[in-house]
Amino acid sequence: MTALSETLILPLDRARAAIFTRASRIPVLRPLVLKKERRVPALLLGHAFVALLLALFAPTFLLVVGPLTLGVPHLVSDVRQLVLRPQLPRLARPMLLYGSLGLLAARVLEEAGVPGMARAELGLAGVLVLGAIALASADARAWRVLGTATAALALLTCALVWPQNSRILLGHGHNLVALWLWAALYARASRSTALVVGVVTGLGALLVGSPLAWFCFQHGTQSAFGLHGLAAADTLAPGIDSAPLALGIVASFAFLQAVHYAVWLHAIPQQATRGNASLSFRMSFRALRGDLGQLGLAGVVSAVLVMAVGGALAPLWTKSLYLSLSAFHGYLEVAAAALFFVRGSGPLGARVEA
Amino acid sequence: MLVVAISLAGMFLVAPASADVAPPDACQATDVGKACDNATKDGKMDRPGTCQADKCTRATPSGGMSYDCYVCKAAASATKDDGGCSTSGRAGSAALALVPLLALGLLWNRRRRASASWLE
Repeated sequence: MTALSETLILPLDRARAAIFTRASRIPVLRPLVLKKERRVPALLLGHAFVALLLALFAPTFLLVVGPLTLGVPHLVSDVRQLVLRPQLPRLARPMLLYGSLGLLAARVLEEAGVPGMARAELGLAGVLVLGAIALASADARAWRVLGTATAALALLTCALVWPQNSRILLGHGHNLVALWLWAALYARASRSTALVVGVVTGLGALLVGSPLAWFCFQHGTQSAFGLHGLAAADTLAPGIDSAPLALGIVASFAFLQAVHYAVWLHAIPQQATRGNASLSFRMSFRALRGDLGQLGLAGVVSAVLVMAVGGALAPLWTKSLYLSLSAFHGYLEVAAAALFFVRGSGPLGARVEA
Repeated sequence: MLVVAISLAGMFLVAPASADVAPPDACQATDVGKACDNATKDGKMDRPGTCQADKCTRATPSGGMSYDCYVCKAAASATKDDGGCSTSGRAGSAALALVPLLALGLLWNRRRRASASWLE
């Protein structure tokens, strides 16, 4: 089975090698290809540019196709890079894993119609974040522990008082959390890293704060797979009366979600790799199998196939169910960020600057 | 760990969910056919209903725009007034806000005691 998988991947690696070889012969591209610190930000910016165009002219296409194709792989990368691979305090790994399963179970129960699960989920997420802070607090500086705990408790209080708004805000905010995690914990502090964070955050804000999204919406694809931009606004920007502002929020979410996927699927795995070389598809496959085991890998492949079949038969329904069930990873990102910040060192062992 | 335990306790003190903003009557594709509690009927919000595919219209700078949507529609027989947001719910939420502050105080006190024991 493994040999068959690697045989199937082989053509991809050949194509990848050919592209890298040709690109490295072009003087302008050579430094980008050879230096990881330039390659990753450049690819993120290139991806962000494409995502921006799609978010402006076909936001609902991006909102449906993105989760259906990249949703499960990005969740797997998220769990691998934040839980399975880093050196963590004792009990942190099982707590984060079982906490995530608990959050997933809460969503399954909510989808099954069990009432009151929104607050139960937020309470469990609060326990997960505070638990991460507590586990990382040994030998940590007092101001980091108290500052992070204060912020977490304040957010938890707001979340429990306003559960629905909090979940929507988390949905929007966690897209940026991934970018900030990449910049703070994985990438070296450099001008190119700051440029990527600044450009992406600025574009996200521009989409919300300007009539650009509304203008492009009128001239672009207003509906894809049965999802209209205004219907997306009903769920992503509830209570917003102004259609241009609501569509700006939708476009911003679609754009930042696409960047979020690129961060987890490309930028962070690349940055977590030693040296300047990038992993071949076969090497990535072996690493994935090593992290998840045969059973875990089979589960992931099954989930990807289920998403593909579900997406082909009922794209909107499958996308909505996926977005609901995948909510756990937003909390996981916050919990892991709190843990690394309190500990004062990231998953790669680098210092986390305050 | 004390903070975690107190927050866990706080979770169970939470009152039933109350509306935090004027909720729209939108629902999701996955909810079609399921019961929902954010329908609007006779000008009143948060009524029980069922999620259904519908046609919505929204005002835009270039006029009204119609689109396919999912809406929580009030059940025909749903006449019981459940009162919307309850005062007790708000009171429970307000009481809940004190729990994290108490937890923070205990954490601070614990760290101070730990620091003091190192000095001794």
